[in-house]
Amino acid sequence: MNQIVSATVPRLGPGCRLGSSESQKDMLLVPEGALKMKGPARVILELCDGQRTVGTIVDELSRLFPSENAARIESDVIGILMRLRDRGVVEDA
Amino acid sequence: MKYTPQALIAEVTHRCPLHCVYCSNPLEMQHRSGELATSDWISIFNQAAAMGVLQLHLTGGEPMARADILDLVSAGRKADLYLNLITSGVGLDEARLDALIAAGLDHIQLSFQDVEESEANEFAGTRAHALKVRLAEIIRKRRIGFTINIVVHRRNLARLDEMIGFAERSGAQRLEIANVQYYGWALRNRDALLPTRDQLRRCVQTLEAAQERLKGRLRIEFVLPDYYAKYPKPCMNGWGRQLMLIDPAGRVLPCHAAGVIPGIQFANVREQSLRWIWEESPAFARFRGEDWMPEPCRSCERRERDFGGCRCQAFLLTGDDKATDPVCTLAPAHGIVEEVVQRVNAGREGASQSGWVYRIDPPMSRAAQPPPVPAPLPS
Repeated sequence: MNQIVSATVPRLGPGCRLGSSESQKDMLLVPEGALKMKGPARVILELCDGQRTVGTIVDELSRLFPSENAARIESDVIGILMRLRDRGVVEDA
Repeated sequence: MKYTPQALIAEVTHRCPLHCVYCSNPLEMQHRSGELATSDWISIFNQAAAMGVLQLHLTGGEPMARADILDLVSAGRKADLYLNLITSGVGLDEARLDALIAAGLDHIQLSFQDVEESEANEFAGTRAHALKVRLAEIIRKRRIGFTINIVVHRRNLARLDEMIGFAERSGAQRLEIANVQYYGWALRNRDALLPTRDQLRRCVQTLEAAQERLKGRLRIEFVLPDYYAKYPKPCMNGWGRQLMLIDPAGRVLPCHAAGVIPGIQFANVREQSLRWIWEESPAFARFRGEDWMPEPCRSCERRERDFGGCRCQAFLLTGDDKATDPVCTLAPAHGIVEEVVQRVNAGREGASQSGWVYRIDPPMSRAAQPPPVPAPLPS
């Protein structure tokens, strides 16, 4: 599979969506169940709308978390997206 | 200990145009006249969501046989449930699929009986395979979660590579290779369906290699026949711990097969709230915790992992629903399973079977008719 880079446009895979009600808000609903989104994964996935590039997502997160190092944010975002793509819940738009 | 249900399996009808020789429906099915109304199901979905259920699996029978299927999907989605349709594909076309997606369907699981048309039709007892192939083409053009489910057994495991190839080309994101589990109709056909030890070994090798090769493109999940396991499966992740199933007439069960166990009164949503049934009813409490366990389960270090195995299988094979699941190599009744495995392995692999017991629909239902006699196989 190709690498995830700054220009990649990620989105949730078919049949995957973030929980909509209050009790499901940390859940990523997938065909075989639900994955609990820990830490920043939920915020990242909300930005994976099939429009924003990874670069844009990193910029937005840098503004949200100004105390974090931008390079660190980028490597975290790419790491999380790679894992979720291997898991089949994120794809390149 | 309080358990939160994760998923609700809604058997909205037992009517089905297929007659699969391993159908997981009970031998005694519910008539159309006894089926819950649309409003009953809507109430159930709302109650389930309020209890913390995340997923709704609409199944049957064939759920598309319900004239109100769009209303059911729409109501489930409005209740914030993840909507999965488990279907044979019969009754679906482009227009109905688009309507289901518009109503909020998240995911569709399409069943196949084989990749070879004549064999697929033989196992299904009807000519549905070609339609399923066309339907897969229609589904792949839409952005919806898509899983292909293929039930495997002794008579079709030789084509596992072709099945994986078919799924790879189909546009599905997931492939489930489900070895038959021996309940209901499958138990009737067990000696013809149970794979040999050698088939199973090759099956696992093939699937593991395909999982690695297709990582990130096609997710492959598989279920093995527990007759060959050393320890039992944690059936339904424990009785009444995560799942509940509602049959077409409103009976609430912890799984597909539990109705076979005599002496258990399963409450009905027509008479009790779903929450009471889950939290308070004696049927759901019956095998929660460990107090019911016999030895060797009671002192076994695996008891929190597999919960003593499947209660329905224990009853079906030993007549005692509290017995250790006989597939467990530690079970006093394990000889029952060993004897079947030995008999099957002494026979010829892929040996032809002449007398399938086909699933029939409940009497009085419109679809009830003897299954068509499939064309004889080329030998």
